[in-house]
Amino acid sequence: MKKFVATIVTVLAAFTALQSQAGVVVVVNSSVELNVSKADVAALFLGKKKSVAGISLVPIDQEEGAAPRDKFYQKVVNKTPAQLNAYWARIIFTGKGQPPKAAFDDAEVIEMLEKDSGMIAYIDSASVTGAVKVLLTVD
Amino acid sequence: MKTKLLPLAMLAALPSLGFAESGSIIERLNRLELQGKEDALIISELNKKIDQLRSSKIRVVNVDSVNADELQVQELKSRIDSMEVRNKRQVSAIKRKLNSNSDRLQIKGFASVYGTKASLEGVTLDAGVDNNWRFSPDTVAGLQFNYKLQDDIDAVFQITAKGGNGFDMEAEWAFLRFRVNDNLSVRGGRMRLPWYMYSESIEVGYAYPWVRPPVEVYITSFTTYEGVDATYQTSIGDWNTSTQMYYGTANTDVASSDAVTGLAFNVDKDDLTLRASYHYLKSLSINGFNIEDDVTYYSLSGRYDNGKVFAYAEATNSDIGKKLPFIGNYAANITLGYQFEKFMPYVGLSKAYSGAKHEETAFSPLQKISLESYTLGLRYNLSSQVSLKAEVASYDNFDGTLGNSVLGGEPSLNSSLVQDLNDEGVDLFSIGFDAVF
Repeated sequence: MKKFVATIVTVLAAFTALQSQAGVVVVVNSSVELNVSKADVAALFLGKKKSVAGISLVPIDQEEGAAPRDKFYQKVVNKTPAQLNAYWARIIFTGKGQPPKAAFDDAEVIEMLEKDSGMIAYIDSASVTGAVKVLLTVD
Repeated sequence: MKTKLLPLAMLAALPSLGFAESGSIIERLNRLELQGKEDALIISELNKKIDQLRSSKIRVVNVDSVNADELQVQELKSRIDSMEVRNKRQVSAIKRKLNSNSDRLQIKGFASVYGTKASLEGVTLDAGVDNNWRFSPDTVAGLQFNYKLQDDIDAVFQITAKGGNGFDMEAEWAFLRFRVNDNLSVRGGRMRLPWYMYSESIEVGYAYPWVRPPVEVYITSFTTYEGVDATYQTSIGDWNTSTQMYYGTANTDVASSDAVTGLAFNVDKDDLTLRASYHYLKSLSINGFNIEDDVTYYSLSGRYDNGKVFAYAEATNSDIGKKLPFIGNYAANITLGYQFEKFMPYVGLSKAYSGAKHEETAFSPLQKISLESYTLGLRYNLSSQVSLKAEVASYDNFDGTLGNSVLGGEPSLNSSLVQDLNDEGVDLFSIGFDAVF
């Protein structure tokens, strides 16, 4: 019985955690007119692409541990943390590139996008303001 | 480039590169700290005033006066708020300033530390592997400096120290890159030859599952060249493509070539990566062998990695085995792995042989190559920066040849050793860790 209750509690806790976890949105400066696919965004954040439809875009990452980060890489880029680490080790030490710059939180991301229309980033869907345009939504 | 002075000179030059502006940032931080103290004083006074106004309000009956006090309280509060917002903005601006400085200069490093032992007595393999546990053969450390001169030009300098090479510092990468546009970049300087899928990152153990990429495939005459390359990246539908062309010269203590040139083509989509490469070495000469000949290499490889399943296959072909003894010219490896949480067990199968083995050449059977190997290993991701690995690689089926020259080391003509190798094969045990930082 105890085990059963513990299981129920765990499941409920997991469920609530899922519920409270908001979606992740891919955003740019509100003035940018652009359509992107998941594959475009993944390629931009992995440094395999520097532009989409002729528009140069610099990806802005969030620091490890930032709330939307894991979901973004899991759902949009389709890479586990282990894959991502091995990928960047290969890219960095062959001099092919550097991982994107990381911002501290959603607020800083928005602040950066407001000032620079050549950037693309991801934030929690709850943090969206009028300063940014949502290109993709992932739940 | 092998001199130890160059890396030291680079290190000496570092402070003047990245941190020139840090002085002004410290000044700004000091000013901000002072301002914060002043602000705290003002805020506490303002709070006192608010408290006074609130407490006096209870005793005052005059409604107009209460309203006036309330207005004053609101005004004081908004002053406090605006001070806080101003401070937050300044802190954020300073953080960004610090960030942009660290963007100019990036220093990253990697290291692998392994103990390796061969099962067979009397045999000496690549980098001094023998029948004792030795920690130098598979141990390597590297430090990389990226310096952005301007938006489209950067310099990369990497020094590595390999245990198998007496830990002598070597510049494996030292190049300037110019990004012509979003698709094209050109580099000039010293670079690693893009022979095979993992050739350019062969020393970065964290980047691949094995203790070392399959030696049968990855044995090559050179690892670096001095010259130029151009890389063109573009997308075709959802496929990302990268085409790399290079030209230069290569020179080491043991071999040299008047011109090395080639092409590596890479496509990837989602979890799948495919690669093809072609390499041409003009008048390759290897010390001790009286030969100067042109040599061609081809390779085909693929990797599938969805975070759970890891699959890799690579096949290479060269005409070098027909021209030089002790060198195989066909080699292939297939490796499969599966990620269970932080553990990844993997199994690999390799085969290498020289075509000359089956053809009429001037080489004796001993000078030809044939071997097979099985690799069984376990990788554990300790953190996002460290992985531990334990591996057994079993080399066998030498078929009367000196397969151990594929494993590196001096080709030994000791007949009892050749007999032992052919009878028993040789196993390599390795355990250790890889780190990136």
